[in-house]
Amino acid sequence: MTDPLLEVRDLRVAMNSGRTQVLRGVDFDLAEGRTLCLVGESGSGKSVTAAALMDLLPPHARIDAATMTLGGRPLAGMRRAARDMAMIFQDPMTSLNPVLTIGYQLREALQLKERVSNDVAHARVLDVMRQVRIPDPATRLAAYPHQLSGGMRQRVMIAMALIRRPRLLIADEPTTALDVTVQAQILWLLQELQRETGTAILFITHDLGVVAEIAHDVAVMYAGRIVERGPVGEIFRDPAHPYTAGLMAATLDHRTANDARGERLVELPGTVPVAGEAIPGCAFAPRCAYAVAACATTPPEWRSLTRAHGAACPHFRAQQMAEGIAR
Amino acid sequence: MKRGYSFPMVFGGTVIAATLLCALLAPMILGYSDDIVMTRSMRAPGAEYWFGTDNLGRDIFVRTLSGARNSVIVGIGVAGLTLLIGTAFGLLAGYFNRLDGAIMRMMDGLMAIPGVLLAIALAAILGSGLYTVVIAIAAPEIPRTARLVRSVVLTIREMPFVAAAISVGSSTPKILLRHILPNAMPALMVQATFVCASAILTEAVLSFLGVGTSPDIPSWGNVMAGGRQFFRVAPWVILFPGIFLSIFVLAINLFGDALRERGDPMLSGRRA
Repeated sequence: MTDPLLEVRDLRVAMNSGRTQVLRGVDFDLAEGRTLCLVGESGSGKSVTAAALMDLLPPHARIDAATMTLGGRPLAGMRRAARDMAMIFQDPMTSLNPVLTIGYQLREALQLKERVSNDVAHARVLDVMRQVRIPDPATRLAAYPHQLSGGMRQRVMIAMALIRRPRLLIADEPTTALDVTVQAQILWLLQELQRETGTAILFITHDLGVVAEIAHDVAVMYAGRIVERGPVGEIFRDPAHPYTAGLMAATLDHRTANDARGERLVELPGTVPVAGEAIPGCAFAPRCAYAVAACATTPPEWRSLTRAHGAACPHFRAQQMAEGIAR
Repeated sequence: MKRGYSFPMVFGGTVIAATLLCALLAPMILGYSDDIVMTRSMRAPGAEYWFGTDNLGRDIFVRTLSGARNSVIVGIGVAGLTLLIGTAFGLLAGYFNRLDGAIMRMMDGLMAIPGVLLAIALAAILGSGLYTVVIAIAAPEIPRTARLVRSVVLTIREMPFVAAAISVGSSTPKILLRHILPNAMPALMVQATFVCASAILTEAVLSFLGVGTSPDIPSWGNVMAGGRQFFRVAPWVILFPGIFLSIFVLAINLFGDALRERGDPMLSGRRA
């Protein structure tokens, strides 16, 4: 295997000049042409991770990382325009400036990265608009964001990202604000574009349906840490962390149809720890059915199941096996 | 969301346009025939002198129309100056947390002094030219505009499109001037109309108090001020410029209201 494109080791972020710890050591790799889904509930640190990579955190945030490199070059201190990455934001309604035309915003995104003449920029803008399947790009250039539909605006956002020819595309819940059919079109488009350009995608979502659709790999985040990481198939088939298992169980699935059999939808008891709280042991321990006394005091050990799949929980597997034998 | 043109907008727009036209053309059409001619002093309005004459025999019709010119210069000048400086302060205070405290406390300090008092003091210090009056009236208006712009900027800078602009590497001046300022324009345009209207009134007050422009530069305010002593015998000296002043200020305010009702593009998805 070649070196990963994006390498992140022990990424820590603290807000309020270091007082509130929100990322407590995040590790992951992402290779060219692959899609990694960051999954987790609100406040687990998904978006902060993306913002740290893009250098979009507020000035009072402290970023610390043992390694944070893109294509071997450290990201810390790199100018934003020089970073070989681009981001697609959550809400296409508010992520485009309402008083500037689509064409202007696309051209700006390009010309801040590369010094190209206006003619070349114009051609590139039309190219990228065709690439994201915006019909009739020449007339859409002069359109203002409010003249486009939500799906079309998200295509423009994707075009704004792609025009910079990034090696890494960060998508922060790009489909959450869209309705389901448009959502499917956008996911399909992202996959197509990945095939065409070979870009890596870091996809942030809390929708497991979307994960199943688009991910190659999944990283599950909980309270500022990655608790489980692995190929999408293995994670879905064989979760190795009680939190992941809980997430899967809590998802409404029409095939197992909890509802039709009159069963209650499974829920995870308890609440997420407050960001910044000191957590000596496993953050999930208070909500975990498999927790032992040591979980609350000592940080959980990372257990690898296969080469790519592992989880920060040494107990879950052992207990599941024990239960299996007992049954 | 109103489409088309409402009555206030049409009325306001028409009056403003007509007044601007008078202001521009009056000196050309009328020449400057408001000379002092003692033999025709205090004539009542009639066929010869439509608006009558004052104690020095100056034609009030001519002075009212020429006054329009100077009053409009004051209104537009003050609105422009206030907006320019107030917007600059407001943008800086709203976008840079570090400057916020310092700039806004300075503005609060300026705001603590009553506007007319400050204007009188400045007019007294600077002398009584047209442009010094503009400066004197603009100074107390700046804090209000700065506060407005700051509050608008505070909202806009949290919008995702600003983060998007930052993420592609836009420079800070570009973000302020190209991404944030245009989105604040609707609020600014409305503010401009109100500043303009109140500046014309303030100028009249200053003239009335004797610290406005000198009588050889007629404005609605100082024509009225000149007629003050003779109000009982020659009410028309105050009446006609007063009517013009009221209607023009009303028109500007109506126009500003209509602009505000058209809403801003952030809420309605319409272009300003």
